[in-house]
Amino acid sequence: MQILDDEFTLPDQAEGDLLSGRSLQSLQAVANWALFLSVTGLAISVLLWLAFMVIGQMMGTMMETMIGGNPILSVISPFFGIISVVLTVMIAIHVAILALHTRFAIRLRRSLQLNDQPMFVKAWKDMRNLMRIFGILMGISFLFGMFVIYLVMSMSAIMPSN
Amino acid sequence: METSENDFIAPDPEPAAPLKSGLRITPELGAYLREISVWTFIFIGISAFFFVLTVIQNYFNYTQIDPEHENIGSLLNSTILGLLLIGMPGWFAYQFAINVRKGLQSESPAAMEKGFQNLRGLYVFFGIMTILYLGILLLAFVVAITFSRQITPMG
Repeated sequence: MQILDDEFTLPDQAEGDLLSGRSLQSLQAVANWALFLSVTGLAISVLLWLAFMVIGQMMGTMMETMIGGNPILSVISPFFGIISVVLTVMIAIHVAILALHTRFAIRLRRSLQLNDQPMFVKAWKDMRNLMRIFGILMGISFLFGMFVIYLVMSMSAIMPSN
Repeated sequence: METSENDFIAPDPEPAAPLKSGLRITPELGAYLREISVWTFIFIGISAFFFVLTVIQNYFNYTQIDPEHENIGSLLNSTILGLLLIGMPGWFAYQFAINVRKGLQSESPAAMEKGFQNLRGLYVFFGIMTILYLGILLLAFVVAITFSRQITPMG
């Protein structure tokens, strides 16, 4: 009988430590605030995207009327297209990050409500992926920053000789 | 006889604090939490590096504008504000990362509790900052509309 009891209890204990009540309360608050931040961030991103679209259209019509044979403006105008593409990509990345964060918040909330262990693990997997994306983006921006500093320094070194 | 009397006594109401759940820190979850804490350390390090760089750059800019340090208060104010805005979440993040790591290594529920409490602190800080930011935006919007309505009839 003792052996049978152990068969049912041992594997469960081997899975890991139970989370305490205080930890669960903290995680509940984390889930609520995370959901609030994600939804607010998504709303702001959508508004920003709409604002960029309206400003882009306005700039396009302005440029069309302003160019009128001006050679400098006709050379610059294609760059506005590139800027708008870069801005759209940046907003898309921002929205993707926020969507992942929203998924983390929803999964954490549901797992705490339904006492769902697999969903709880998935929620933290989302958080881990979010951290990886942040890390990659931070690395790219760091390299870009270093490149800009190198460019400025090399330009300043060339300028006096000319 | 005593035991049968005790059977009818209502149990004491449970304290509000503990939440009952079967959620566990499995090895898979532990690995995720460990990686999250490592990334958190990296982000704190990079943020601290850029904060120090910004402070040094601001100081050099300031010495060019005001070489006799007559208005050094403004520089100090901006540094303290920056330290609060970057240092507070950084401290919460550091405490979260270090306690979660400690909790996973020593299997201590108290350290895990402290870690998750600091994560909550981090989220509360960002939440309050977002509410403040939205409040300021709303106030600016209301002020702009009020002024535009006051100016339009006169024009």
